[in-house]
Amino acid sequence: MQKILLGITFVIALVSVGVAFAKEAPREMKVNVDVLSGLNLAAPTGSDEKRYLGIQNEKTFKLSDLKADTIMVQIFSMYCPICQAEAPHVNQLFELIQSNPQLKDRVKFLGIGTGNTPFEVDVFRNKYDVKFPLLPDDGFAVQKAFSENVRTPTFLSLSNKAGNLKLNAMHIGAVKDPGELLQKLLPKGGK
Amino acid sequence: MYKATGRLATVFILMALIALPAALWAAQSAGMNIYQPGELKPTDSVAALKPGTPAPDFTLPSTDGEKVTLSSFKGKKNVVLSFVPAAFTPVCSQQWPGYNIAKDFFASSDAVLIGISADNVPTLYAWTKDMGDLWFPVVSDFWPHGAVAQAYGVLRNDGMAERSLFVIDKEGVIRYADVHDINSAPRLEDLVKELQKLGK
Repeated sequence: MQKILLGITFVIALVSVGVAFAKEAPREMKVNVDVLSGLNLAAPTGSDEKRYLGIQNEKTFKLSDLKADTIMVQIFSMYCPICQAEAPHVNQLFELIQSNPQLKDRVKFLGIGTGNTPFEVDVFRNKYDVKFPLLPDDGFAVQKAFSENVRTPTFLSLSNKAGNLKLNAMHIGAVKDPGELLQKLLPKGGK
Repeated sequence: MYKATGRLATVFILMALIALPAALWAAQSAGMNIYQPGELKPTDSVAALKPGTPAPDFTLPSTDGEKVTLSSFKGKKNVVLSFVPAAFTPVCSQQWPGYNIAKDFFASSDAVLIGISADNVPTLYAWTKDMGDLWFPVVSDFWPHGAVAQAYGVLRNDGMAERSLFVIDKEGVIRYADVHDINSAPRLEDLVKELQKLGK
């Protein structure tokens, strides 16, 4: 009898651990920075956004083309209710970067609207008065860089050494405190 | 022997207890509770209504406790019906929040939006609260199950509605119908273009 009970307990424990680890998988979402940095992204059409990113008349560009020590990317969707609710916080995060003389010229911040058309990105930009570049990705190209279905919003911080990008940090989900997230995304010792 | 097996059982039970909170945490980390239905057959119904035909009238209960009657808008407002397949699923949980920040496009075309699903009212209530405050009514086509979806020719064989849009003018005539691939959301600009074709 005790052997049967032990067997049942063993199966329950094994299944519980298995379920937990299966559900844990998204927490360990991996990003392939080489793929990400090689993606052809749609260049913004606004002159302010082009100037900010240092883009001339190119129709597309790569993250590795950007002249900045640190590149921060928010992957969002106009359709994502969390991205909508968090938009004011993300705007504050960008303002924190722009108002800090030590960060302003070293950090570039941009958003990629995964699955969004230029029209849909414009709706989001206008609704929340977003000042940083928002780029459409209606073909879900950015998904190619992720090991799991990318969840929105996802924030990436990439260090840039002569076009060679490396992942500093990744944050998935709500922002809550823009200052805290900025510290999390900045390279260690890079205040 | 029994002491050893007993200790082993205790270890497994502890593992299970440790694993459970981890699973719950993972479910919350995505921000919303979403069921993943996987890839579904793009459409699974025979479209019955074409542009130019009168829109079938209906009265359905909404999540705010009121009833919504399509004909009450006749002569007053253009109407967009947005059928979605199921609450707490990935595409549906983004489509309506998208419309939630596009209210101006509906208003500028003197149109109201009605969201419809074959889920029951309590389910729709919980789901829409999870998505934030929606500015448009969400009504339940639960009983008789999917009867309105059936009247519009968008009831799937599994009892869900197709992901579909109907633009109805102030005369109560269907001006646009999009029975969409259930696995993806219609483009917002396609709906906006159709709205812009309507006279105010």
